[in-house]
Amino acid sequence: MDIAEHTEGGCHVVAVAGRLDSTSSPALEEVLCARVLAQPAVIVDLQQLQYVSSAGLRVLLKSAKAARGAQHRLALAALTPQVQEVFDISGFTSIFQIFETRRQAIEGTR
Amino acid sequence: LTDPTRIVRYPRPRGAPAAVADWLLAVPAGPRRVKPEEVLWGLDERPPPAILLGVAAQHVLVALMVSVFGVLAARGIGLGPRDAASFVAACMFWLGIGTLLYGLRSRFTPGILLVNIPSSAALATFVAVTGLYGPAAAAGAFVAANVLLFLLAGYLPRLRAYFPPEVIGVVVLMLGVSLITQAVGGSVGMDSGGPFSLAALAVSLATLAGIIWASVWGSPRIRVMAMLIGTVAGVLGAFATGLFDLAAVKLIADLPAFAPPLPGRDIGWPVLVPAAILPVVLIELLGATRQAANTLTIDKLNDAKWRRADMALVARAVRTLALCNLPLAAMGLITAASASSNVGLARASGVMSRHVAIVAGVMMAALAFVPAVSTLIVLTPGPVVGGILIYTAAFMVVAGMDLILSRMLNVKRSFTVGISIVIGLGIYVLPGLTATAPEWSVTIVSSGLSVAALVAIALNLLFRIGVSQTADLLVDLREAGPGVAEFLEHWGKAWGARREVILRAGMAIGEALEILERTGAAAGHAELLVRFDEVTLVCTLRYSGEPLRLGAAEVDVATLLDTSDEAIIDAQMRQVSAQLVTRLADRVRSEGQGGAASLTLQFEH
Repeated sequence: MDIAEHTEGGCHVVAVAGRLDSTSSPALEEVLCARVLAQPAVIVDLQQLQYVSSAGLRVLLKSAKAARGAQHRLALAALTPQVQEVFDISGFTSIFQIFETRRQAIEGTR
Repeated sequence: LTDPTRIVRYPRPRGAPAAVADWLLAVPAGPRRVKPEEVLWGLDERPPPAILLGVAAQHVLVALMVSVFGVLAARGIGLGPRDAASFVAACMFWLGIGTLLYGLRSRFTPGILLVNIPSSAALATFVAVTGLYGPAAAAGAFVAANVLLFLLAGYLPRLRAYFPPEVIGVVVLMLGVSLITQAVGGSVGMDSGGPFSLAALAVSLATLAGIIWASVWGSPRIRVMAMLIGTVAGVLGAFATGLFDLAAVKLIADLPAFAPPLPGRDIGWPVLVPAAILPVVLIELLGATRQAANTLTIDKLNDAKWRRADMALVARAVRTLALCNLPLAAMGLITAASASSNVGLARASGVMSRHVAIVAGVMMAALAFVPAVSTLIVLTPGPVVGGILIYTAAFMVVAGMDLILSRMLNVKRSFTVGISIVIGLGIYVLPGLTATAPEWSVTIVSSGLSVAALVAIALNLLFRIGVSQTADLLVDLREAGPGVAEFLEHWGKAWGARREVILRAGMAIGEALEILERTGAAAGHAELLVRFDEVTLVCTLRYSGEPLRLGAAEVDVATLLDTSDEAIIDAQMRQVSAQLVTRLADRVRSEGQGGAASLTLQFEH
């Protein structure tokens, strides 16, 4: 899994690529939980994410709770069809603000 | 893990024929179709009468305009104008009956919108065999070929692996390519050997512009009239540019108002001549491939979630074609093929209803009794037909590409598609290529469509040799994910499986492996066994340990978000895992005995 970060349109963007599973999720947990506490608006760009398991979902859940506790905003963008299916089945679609593109996420979050 | 055969039964008629009718009308249900948003009326929906009649009339109009092959066949076997008109009228009657049968759903008929026209593929063979062996031998050969086709059609569902989407896609694409000469030639007035004509080009462009405007920017009411709007625009253009033969129209006044659609000559009883039968059987079998291509194109256009070829539907469409061809052949007429241009019209109009085929079939059969109609067919301006065929060719080429890319391509599949298209196109680009071919084979090898179809079928057969339909992998539970994904990707390409099914299987197996590792149900290694048979992908994980118990309880998302109790979160996340495995797969079975356990996940393909 690769994690890349940049700032765009007043939001902090964390782009995650590859596989988010029990092996790689601790690395994302470390980055994302720190960013949602430090930044008022964070977008997780999942356009290049090929696979997410329940371990990956748990990291995203933990980050969402941290953002809520800090009264910061966290949104997800550009889910691939297979990742979207995992969110739909698990019910996690209702936990997050999800946008079709990163641009829409930035406009809807800032 | 197997699907029970579902039988759809129609209301049973009363009286003595009830049992026969019940048997005839019992059709095994096909896949459940999801109507795409661009389709206005789906296969089984009945549009309002005005729309039904309007769209059916357009289908008849288009079919009659591209029925010029009937005229060419009559001229090719040396019939004079009067006999040629009778020949076309008799063809039209039986083509109409065949079209009607396409619309009915029964044990032998498909219940889809296809429309019959005289077969362009059979034209050369029909003329050649009639010339070489006489009309009775030609009739015998076409009857024998279609009896064979009718009998073989039942075996088509078992042959799905030999006609995968990329092979049928090549046929669809080449069907489009095979129309280009007639489409472009007709559009610029060069189809009958004349010089390039700007007036013809203008008429053709007006036709094409009318179709495109109506189907792209028109409201639903306009869209259903797309082909008619294009035709009217083209015919008006032909009047304006003087391309419409007004003198010929006067001939129609001398014709009787009604006449029975009987062939204009008596050929006697069909005679069986082996040398005549061989090329005809090959041509009619290729015709069946073309029928499969048109049937699957209609099927795919009707299903937003199309997955695989419904070969039972194809078998019924081929049987109906063979049934329709029997009277045509026995009377010495040219045999039928479903028209790609009508598939194009169905797409442009958004009306896919099988009821349209029934009404169009009745209209065609009825119009066969009006001699003026068959005469008018010949009078349709060539550039108008050219414009319609350009639209059809373009649509078929793209539909073929779409079918080809519906499966994962690997090197073998890329070669199957690429080489067959290149060789098929080679025949069109270098027509002299087949000049020295044996006489009996000329009608087959001089057709780029036939050659491309045969090469694609042969290469698919060749590349299937040595490809195992099962594969296994030893998985280290601690770092299983990427290896399993690559393994499935590799075999998915080798089998030509659909990409989304392979991705879903990778997700479900990855999640199952995480459960095994997290819960300690298994330790060390597991064996992953994967089996593929075009209809299902079955993945079995075998391991030492306890069988997995996957609960069916729903995930409480609100609790997950609100609680900070790790034990509750753990319990809920276990439900998330179980939900992912059981809902990503279509069927799940977990079992174990004596310390050995297995988890089987089945995915419909």
